Amino acid sequence: MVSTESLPYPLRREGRVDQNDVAAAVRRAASGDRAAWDTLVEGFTPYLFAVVSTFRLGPADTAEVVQTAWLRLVEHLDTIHQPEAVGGWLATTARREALRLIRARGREQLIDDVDIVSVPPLDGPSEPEQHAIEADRKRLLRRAFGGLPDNCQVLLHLLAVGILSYAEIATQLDMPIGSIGPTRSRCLDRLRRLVTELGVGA
Amino acid sequence: MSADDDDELLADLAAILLPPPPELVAASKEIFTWRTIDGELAALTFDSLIDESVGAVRSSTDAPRMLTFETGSTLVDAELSVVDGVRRLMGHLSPARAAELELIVDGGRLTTDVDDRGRFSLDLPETAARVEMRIRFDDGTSIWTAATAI
Repeated sequence: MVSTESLPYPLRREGRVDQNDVAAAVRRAASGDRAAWDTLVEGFTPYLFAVVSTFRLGPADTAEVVQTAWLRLVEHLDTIHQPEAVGGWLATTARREALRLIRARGREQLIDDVDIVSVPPLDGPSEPEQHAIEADRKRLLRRAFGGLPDNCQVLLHLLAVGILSYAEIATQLDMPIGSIGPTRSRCLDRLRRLVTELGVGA
Repeated sequence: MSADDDDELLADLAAILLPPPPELVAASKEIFTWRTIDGELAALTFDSLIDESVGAVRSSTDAPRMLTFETGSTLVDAELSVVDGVRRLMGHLSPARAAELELIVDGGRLTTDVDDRGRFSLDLPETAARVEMRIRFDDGTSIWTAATAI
């Protein structure tokens, strides 16, 4: 009897991703276990979505690329060498597929961040004040985030989604593990400054 | 700024970053059913779009795109060219043999014959999309190419 309360193969223990659980889920999926596959999809799709979103492909193509990464995993389930590192493998695959799609479409220009061009108007006076302030804050934060350099966006996105360890993030971004902490602080400081600037200019 | 402030800002950020749409998660789960499909996978082992342009100046976009898919025993080479706005995929199988080829794109199917010299040609839809080819041989065996944006 499979409980609907929790996934049968949790990937996280006490909030942290357990590499052994990830490897076990990959092996079970390879042996045909559908529930194990579902666990992997639930666990890693938010992360993959975050990775692919940084390419600003638009919703349909972003979904397309994420699904292609999952297809690649299905194709390679039997031959994957390091099942515990499947998160990194998926991210690398997704980035490659995003690049392929961009080039296949011959697009040199990426689509502008939709959030920036379609900023909703400030909430009217009928809106409860607290709600309006909160919405405004989120809007500012989103705009400020879009104004960060790409490397900051990618790093903060991965940290915010929180399924990869620092070691895996270091591998993914090809940076020394020791520099993640300092870069994180630097990027967050920059984000704060942008929020302030945008807030003043608004 | 303190570490707590940083953690708080990161948590705020997590709240505004969009989660994946539920239908994307559902569709990704469904992809598992592809495993049950008969036949051998021909993995994508070369794509000039990705494998040739690293570090190189992308000169002309007119150069045809070359793709290679491989199983342990069969090679599928394909070339994508655009002539008068028509995107045409021409290719051949090695070793050469006749087959039925079914191309699956955007939920639709296009079929053609692979001749006895292993050659095939297909016109693709206007826009690049995820494409798979199912190739069925006379002896009942089949291969399918890895899903690829073509």
